Amino acid sequence: MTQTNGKAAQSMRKQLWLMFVICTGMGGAIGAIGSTTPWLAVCVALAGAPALWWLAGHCLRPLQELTTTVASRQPQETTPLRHTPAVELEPIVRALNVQWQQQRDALEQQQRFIAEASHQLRTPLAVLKTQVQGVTSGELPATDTLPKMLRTLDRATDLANQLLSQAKVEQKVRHAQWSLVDMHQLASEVLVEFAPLIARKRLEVSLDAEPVRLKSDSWLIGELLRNLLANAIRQSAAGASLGVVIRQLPDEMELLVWDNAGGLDEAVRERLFQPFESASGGTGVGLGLSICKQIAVSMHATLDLYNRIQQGAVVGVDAVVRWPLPEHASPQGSAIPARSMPHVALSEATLRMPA
Amino acid sequence: MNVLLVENDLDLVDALGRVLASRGFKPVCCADGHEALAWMRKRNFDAVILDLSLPGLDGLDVLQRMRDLGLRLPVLVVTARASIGERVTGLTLGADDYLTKPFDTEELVARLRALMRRSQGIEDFRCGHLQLDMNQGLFLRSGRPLDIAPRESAMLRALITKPGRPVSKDDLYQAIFGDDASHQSDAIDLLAHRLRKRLAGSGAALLTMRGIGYLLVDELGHGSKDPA
Repeated sequence: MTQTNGKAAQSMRKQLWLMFVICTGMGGAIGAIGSTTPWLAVCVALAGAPALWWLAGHCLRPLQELTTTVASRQPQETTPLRHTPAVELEPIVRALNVQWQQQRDALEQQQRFIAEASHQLRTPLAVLKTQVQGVTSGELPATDTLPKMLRTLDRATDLANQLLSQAKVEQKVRHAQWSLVDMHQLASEVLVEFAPLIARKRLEVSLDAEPVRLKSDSWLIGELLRNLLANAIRQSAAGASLGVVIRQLPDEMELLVWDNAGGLDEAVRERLFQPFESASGGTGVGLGLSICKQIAVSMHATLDLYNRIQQGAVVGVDAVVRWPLPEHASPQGSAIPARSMPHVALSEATLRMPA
Repeated sequence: MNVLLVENDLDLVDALGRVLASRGFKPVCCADGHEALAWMRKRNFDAVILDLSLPGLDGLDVLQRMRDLGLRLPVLVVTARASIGERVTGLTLGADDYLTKPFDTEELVARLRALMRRSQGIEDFRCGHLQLDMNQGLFLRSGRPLDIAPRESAMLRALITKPGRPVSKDDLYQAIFGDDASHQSDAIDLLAHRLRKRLAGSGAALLTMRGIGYLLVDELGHGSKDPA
């Protein structure tokens, strides 16, 4: 890579040097002749102009060739350029190829997502159709099947909501509205939103939040917290406890959603951030954590899942989001590695280890 | 109970119309905003169920024109648009309540009835076997007066009038002690502890949301639907 760049630069320097020598030589000759015989200087200049014109054209031809090649490509064409018109254009061709490779990867990822989403969305619809036809034909008992149909509908609804959320997140990440977000207030509002669900499962919920303000997009952070909280609530048994902790550390801000719903297998931990992956036995549609990851990455934040150990046993999961401070991050960034931080004491001396 | 159902999905109109009719309502169905306004001008309805995505005239425009015409009947907005912005716009323009599709028919009927009672000036707050009699200002448990201390009653009143929503400790303090700042902040926790004992077996339970406030839960399962 560096070697090729060196070659290209060397070749470009040669061409520029040649043009410089010719121009300087001609300029000097015209100047010398012009001082004694002006008409001769004009003749020399007129005779030299085509040579210079030809030389400039010769130097610029590879660039014109590349321009024509790129301009003639279809918008959706992402195959790499195999032929480089001149050695000095290699860095440009390489940069274009990298750009097209990224575009190709993004398209493939989008196509995989659409294929998976279609499958995921059609499955509950197929189940529903089978159930309805079974009931109408009398092959399935209505009293047993109708409640199952409601559960199937809920599954399809959850999926539709998450697909819409995913689409909105993608749009918001590109056009985030940055402002100072009061994290305590935001967390309170999200918890109030979940009150009916919390009440239904009789969960013991707590919010421990320091007065932290973070420069970010309030909708995106809200969506991140909603998804983490929805996961924790879904995994928790009736009457269990869960909570949200927000605190400012020396150079980071930490948002932690904890539950007491058992831990995660090491084998599934990283996979959970992939679309349509859910923990074994999970009832979710498997988009929540991938949405969370996407939001976190867009904010230069990190998202990790840890098993929480108490008295030698795994008791629950901590979902931890960390933002680097000072908050001058902008969207479209990439995640940065966060330092390992000590765990907040939730109820007793607690250890945290990667799940 | 005359209800105008404004919805352009015929399958939903058919199913919901039947459900409403079986619950004692007399639904009139229409699928267009202009038609809905025409119906409201020529007949008295007790409530309107209004979809926002309508052909011809958008549901929010129907709402705006209704209020401009001085029509004050309660409106329950039912829509697939679920963003907070639209919810706020709908309520600002005069919707009385808001349900997101797909909804639970039980919840729709319960909310519709609550809207109609409220519009008739009947404030009726229930939770489990408890009921707040607004006229006499006392609590009934299964129809009988509940034996409860004044401060506990003030706390319970603050909670039962905010169904499905947690009430912050600050708001509870204000409701119980008013501007008297001489009480300790843990006075609310002590009252909550006493109220919990008082509510045992009433079908209503007091849930603590530490850092948020307290939430009164209907244990008989009349809660509202989960957030999307």
